[in-house]
Amino acid sequence: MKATKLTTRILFFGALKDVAGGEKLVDLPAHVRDFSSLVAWLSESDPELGAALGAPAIRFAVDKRMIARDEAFSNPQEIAFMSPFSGG
Amino acid sequence: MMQKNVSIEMASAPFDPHTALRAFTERFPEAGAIASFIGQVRGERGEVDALILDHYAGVTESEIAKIAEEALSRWPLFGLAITHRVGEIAPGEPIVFVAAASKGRRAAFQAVDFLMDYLKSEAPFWKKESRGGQTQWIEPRAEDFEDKARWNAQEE
Repeated sequence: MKATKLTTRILFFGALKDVAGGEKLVDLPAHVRDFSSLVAWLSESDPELGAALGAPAIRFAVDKRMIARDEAFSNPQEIAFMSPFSGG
Repeated sequence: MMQKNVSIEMASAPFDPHTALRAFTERFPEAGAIASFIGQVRGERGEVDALILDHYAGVTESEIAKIAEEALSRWPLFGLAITHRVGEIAPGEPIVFVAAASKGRRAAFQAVDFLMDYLKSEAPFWKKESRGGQTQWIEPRAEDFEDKARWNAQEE
């Protein structure tokens, strides 16, 4: 038996939340290690969501830290995709 | 994590910006200038039932802290206060309160202006409007990004 894989919680904020239909709990495959590979992997099961996540204005956070799209991550517990902000 | 002269608050229930301003003013008796801003939900002639503000707990606070740090590095300030509502907000209720204390007025005015421009487009908040029982996400406007870009031109 392999060690239990870490489950990752994926959150969506703003209009993306409606596209995604709520948060997801996933077991990420080993090749998913940055923004692009994650979006490509999510697109396999939901191309519409994948297209929305890949839009240039979407921001990205891993374990509550906002990171750039080309920054690699490992064993994330929580990932967030965020629609453009509208505060104030 | 936050400096003692900066207060950042996420309010999930209605708050009184006047009480917040009085407390802020009393904290900085050495300041010669206090500027403040109150944003409230527009009535829109009764067409809007409420705004619903989402945030990302933990992340929103730390991103606002970065914005406050940036303001402190740009102007000589004694302190800053930022209160932002989250949850469902009725027309006429305050949604955001910002205050800055400095020796002279220019720094205080500019810091408040800067904080509002950045809170609009750089702090993780998502706004939904409820009209006649239907809700719709409010996307940021082009002006919001232009307002923020004004401050880049002033960078060294």
